[in-house]
Amino acid sequence: MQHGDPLNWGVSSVLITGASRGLGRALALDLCRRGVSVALVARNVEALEDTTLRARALAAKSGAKAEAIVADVSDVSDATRVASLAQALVGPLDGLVHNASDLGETPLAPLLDGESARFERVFRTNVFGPLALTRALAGNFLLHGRGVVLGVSSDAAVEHYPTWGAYAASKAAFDHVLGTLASELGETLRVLSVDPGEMNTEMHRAALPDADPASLEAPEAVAEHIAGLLLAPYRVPNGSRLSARELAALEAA
Amino acid sequence: MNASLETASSLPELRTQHEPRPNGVGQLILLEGSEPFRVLRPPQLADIFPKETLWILNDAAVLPASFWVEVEASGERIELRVASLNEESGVFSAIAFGAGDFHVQTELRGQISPLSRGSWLRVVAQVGPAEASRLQVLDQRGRLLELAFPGGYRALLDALYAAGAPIQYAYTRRPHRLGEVQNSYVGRPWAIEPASAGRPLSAAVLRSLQTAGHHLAWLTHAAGISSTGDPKLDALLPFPERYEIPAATREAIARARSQGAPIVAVGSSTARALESAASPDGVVRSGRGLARLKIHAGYRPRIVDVLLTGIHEAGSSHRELTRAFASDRALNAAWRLAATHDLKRHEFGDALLIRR
Repeated sequence: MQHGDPLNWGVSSVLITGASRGLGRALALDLCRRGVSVALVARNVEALEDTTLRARALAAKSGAKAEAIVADVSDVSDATRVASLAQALVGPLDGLVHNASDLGETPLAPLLDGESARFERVFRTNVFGPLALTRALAGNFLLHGRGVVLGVSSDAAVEHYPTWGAYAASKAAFDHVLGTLASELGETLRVLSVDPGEMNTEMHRAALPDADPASLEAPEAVAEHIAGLLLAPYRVPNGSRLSARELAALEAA
Repeated sequence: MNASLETASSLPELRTQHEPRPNGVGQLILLEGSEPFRVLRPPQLADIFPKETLWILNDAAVLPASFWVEVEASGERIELRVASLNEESGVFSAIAFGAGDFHVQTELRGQISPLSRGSWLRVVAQVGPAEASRLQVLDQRGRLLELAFPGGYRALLDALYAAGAPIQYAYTRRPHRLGEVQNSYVGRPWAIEPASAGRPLSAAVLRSLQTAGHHLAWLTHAAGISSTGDPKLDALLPFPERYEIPAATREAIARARSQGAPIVAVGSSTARALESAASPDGVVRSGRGLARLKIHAGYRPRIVDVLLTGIHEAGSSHRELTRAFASDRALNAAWRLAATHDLKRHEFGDALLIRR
């Protein structure tokens, strides 16, 4: 760190992928409420516009900005545009949240029955695209002497659940990407992975349509914990992988 | 040989680097003390300067500043190269080129027909809704146009990122993609052309500098257009360019000076911003400003001790700037050394590290 007490440092401007729905949307709104500017990236134009309008209404009160960028994270060649446009619109970024995820084909299929092309697409969205976006942004964080790269992971990255192969393998791969990045960057940045647990989202319904919604966490509750982490990321060691429970405990501490 | 009598024509040819190489490769000539100068690789940078050396980098990303439009009334096609822009109003200036493409040197490109104020242009490539691709001429002075999209700054950005490309150089063989002309550490897209002196500084090289106890600081400077194709406009280059210096960089400069640590400006754009923001007693103001200063042979730098810059031929504006940091004799010696080692010139080539 070059300046100030790192423990007191928190993000001021964050790019969030998959920001139009679910956890991404909840996180965007939570951060705007706390005065953090957001660049919101998603594929669905209407859903993204709706989230951005709500985020702007919250941001206006706190002096923050909320801007929308329509993009498909799986398109590696688009990473430079997304990173540059985000910074042209909201100013220098110091946070990057990889929240967009592709579950793969639904209903979920066993590995021997799945299509290779679909498996590849999961990796493009969950690994290659986020890596390209990280490359486009994290060098600037390194120069600026601070910043957070946070990946939304899953317990499927460490456990083996039948039919979750593509998603699970991609999440394990990206956890490893983040861990390696942390080891390469020393203490300058915080590169973190968070397993949010099972949440009441569209993605969860697509994966497990029969799950009881009452047994699932609200994305807003998880978003609040992640926002808390983004506002004090240097409290945890670089390269940390945090479960939902650890995240909640951190917030309470 | 008496250096002052040595002319550019008596120096050997240097080959041109036509395509961008990955960040962190290439070679650098260290012009320090007396000859013979040393040739280095980027990973050696951490070893040649003392601990506490302050490296200041321009973190501007390159805009896709070149795009083609059609005059709605006549169908004439024009390449526009953004020269400056105003984020608040969305009004921007651009240099207009007619017949030909980037392979043709700018001064040989076709002139455009006179455009009346208020006439409409349309971006040739698909931008989104039809209305989003229309822009209006506010003023024309020869090749220099003042323009605006009705949708303002956001509409300009959307059009550039949908239809634009980085400004290409006539010496390059193929058009360059936006991603490959960026430095490894870029942030806001303020640069009209690449601040290419930063290419040796890969993330690994930056980390090695940090690990060796050097300090990194940044500013953002809108490195501008290098060639307009119009001798009268070219004589005004570099145009005034906007910059922003954060308070942390101002403080890092003050610290380095009090410790006697060298201050390295990565690129002429960084040097221009720092020297523009410096008071005569060497104090740098932080915040936003407009760089109007032209650094030339007689200029005495107030802030910058070491300049990292590309290799450019005698007579070019880049070369003129380096003469504030080294004598013609030293620059010519570096040129000959570059030829011996087959170093490459121009934006994507090798580099000089000049300690004054």
